[in-house]
Amino acid sequence: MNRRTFLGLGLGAAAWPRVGRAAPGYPERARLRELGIVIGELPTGPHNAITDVADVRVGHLTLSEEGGPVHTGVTALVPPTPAFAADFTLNGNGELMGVGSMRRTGLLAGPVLFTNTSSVGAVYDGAVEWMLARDPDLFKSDLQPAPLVGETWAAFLHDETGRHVQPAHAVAALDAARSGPVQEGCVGGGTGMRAYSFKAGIGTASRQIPGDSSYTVGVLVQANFGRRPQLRVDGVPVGREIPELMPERGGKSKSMLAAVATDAPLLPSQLQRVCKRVALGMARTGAISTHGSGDLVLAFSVASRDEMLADRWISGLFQGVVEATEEAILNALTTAHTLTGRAGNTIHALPLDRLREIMRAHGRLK
Amino acid sequence: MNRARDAAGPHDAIVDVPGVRVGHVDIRTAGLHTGLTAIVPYPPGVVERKLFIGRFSIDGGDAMSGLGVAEDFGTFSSPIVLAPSPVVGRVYESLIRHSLTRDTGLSTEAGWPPIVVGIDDTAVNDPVLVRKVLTHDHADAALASAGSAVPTGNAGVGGGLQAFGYKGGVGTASRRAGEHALGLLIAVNGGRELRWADRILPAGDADGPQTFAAVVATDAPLIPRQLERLAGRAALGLARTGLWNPQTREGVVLAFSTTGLVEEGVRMVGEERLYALFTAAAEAAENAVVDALLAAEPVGGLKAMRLEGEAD
Repeated sequence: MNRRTFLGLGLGAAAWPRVGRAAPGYPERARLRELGIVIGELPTGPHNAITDVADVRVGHLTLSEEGGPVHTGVTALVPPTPAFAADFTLNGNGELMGVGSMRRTGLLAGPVLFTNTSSVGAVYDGAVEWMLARDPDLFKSDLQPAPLVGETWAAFLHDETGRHVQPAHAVAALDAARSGPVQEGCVGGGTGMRAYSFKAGIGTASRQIPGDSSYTVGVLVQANFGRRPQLRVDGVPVGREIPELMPERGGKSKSMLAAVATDAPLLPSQLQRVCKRVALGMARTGAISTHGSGDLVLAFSVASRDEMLADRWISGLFQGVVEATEEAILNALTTAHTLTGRAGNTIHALPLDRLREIMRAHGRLK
Repeated sequence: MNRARDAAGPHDAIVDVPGVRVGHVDIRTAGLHTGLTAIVPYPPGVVERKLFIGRFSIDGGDAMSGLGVAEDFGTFSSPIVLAPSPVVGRVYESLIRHSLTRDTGLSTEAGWPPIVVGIDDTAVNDPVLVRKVLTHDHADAALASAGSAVPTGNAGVGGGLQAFGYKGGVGTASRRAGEHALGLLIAVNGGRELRWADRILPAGDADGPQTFAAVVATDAPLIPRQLERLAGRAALGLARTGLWNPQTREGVVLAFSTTGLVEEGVRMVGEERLYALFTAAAEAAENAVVDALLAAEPVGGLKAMRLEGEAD
């Protein structure tokens, strides 16, 4: 059993260190802040992850064999439900199955799962199985609880045609969900993804919002978009300064899924405004949201639904969302490792020494 | 029974819109009365399958997949499958498999994203049992059987529906609107008092889920904004029957045009000709609800409604 398969069993989250993970033969990877690069002004939560929002849990199930044709998985986000929620479509060439029912009530009533494009149905079916096991009366409820299942396209590295993801994989990802540090990079639904022509995948970050109540906002992304020359890190045109390490063949990457969690008491209408700020965080890294993009955003509040934040205080949250989105995308890039997949296609990791060099030259290293 | 029988197309069914086909699969094993209904919007062999779509949704939300593309681009290319809610994920996977056997990739021209609309048929069926029994073969069978005959009542997803206190089901109707055809298919589920032809029929004894889904097809060239308006007019017809009522929990009307999107170009009817189509949509909707009820056969404790007021 190699390391990747081990992770695939969903046992890895606790056993493996969060930072410095490296596939055999590849340089160590790190989170952006560990490289001395800091995005924005606001402080992060203790894990700088979406799990810094109380009662939000994350689990991954990864299917990945180096050099083979299968590089995908499932990332499961388990919030306390029902939770006020809203969604935003920046560009609609994507699927977030179940979102229609959520819009009806403004309530998120099930877990949120990210996977590759062709696996949405199997993952949704598995999530329903997992929910039924916890609530045999699931379909008797007035709320009609539904999971949300989103996707991005992994076909450059992963065999999207083969039926590799089974409903049981979604169940395993959900069962693996826990609080605390979140694995990033080539894990779960992000395993086969690429951004700015570098290897990417899952990334997360959080911010603490100043004020009497000290709310937290966390973002988790599955990043699979952008062309190399567009990449910016803290405003620095890093992509233009690293023209090499391009994939040998073409293959476009286009989409991003994002989930925003907060403990601030927000109504669905306020959460929809929060969703839109994710687009600004994306744009800071260079995204233009192309025609082929499925840039879909979900936001939910874990707060009790008997109070609401006055609108005049919401801008602090907006800033937190923009900063955390930018950092989550960059974390996906700095933690993902070089991967060779289907048909020998290789996507290189963003070289961290070069990144530090460029950022130092621009006076951005702490 | 039709208010305007002479205005209906030859089948008085959604298949009166050229190229549109309907397929059902009925599941009667393990005591279940359920199934799937597929509306295939394009003739067999058509490669470029992208069509314009619009949607009207009660409460602004519904149990439909493929929402991102349908809303943002106003297009779709998938069969529309009405399925019991507990298995929508599995049927989505069935449609992905179906697409991949025809095309090398998944694209918005070639069947992606699948459109599956969940219908709550728990008035009759145990959702856990439905999940045990329904397989990808059932979805394949529904798609393979797609043709121009449209069984109604208990056929397909109609097997387990409850409506107006009686056995519900699938209904269909069509109308001519000038040179254009318009057809509608509906899964009738919910409602209390049926209002029909100046009569009010008291609700039957049974109670059940208040959810429905309808699909409108037309060969009139309409753009997505016009199709959204058309879907809303069909909902007016549903309100007239009492199917869409204040207790309705979830309901959606999808409307598509088989002719609006032509390669790189667009054809559309002018505003002045829209209103004949709006009338056709409302009338076809009203007609299809009654069609479903009259065609439905008793299942378990659910009686069949008969317009004389006598249930058998």
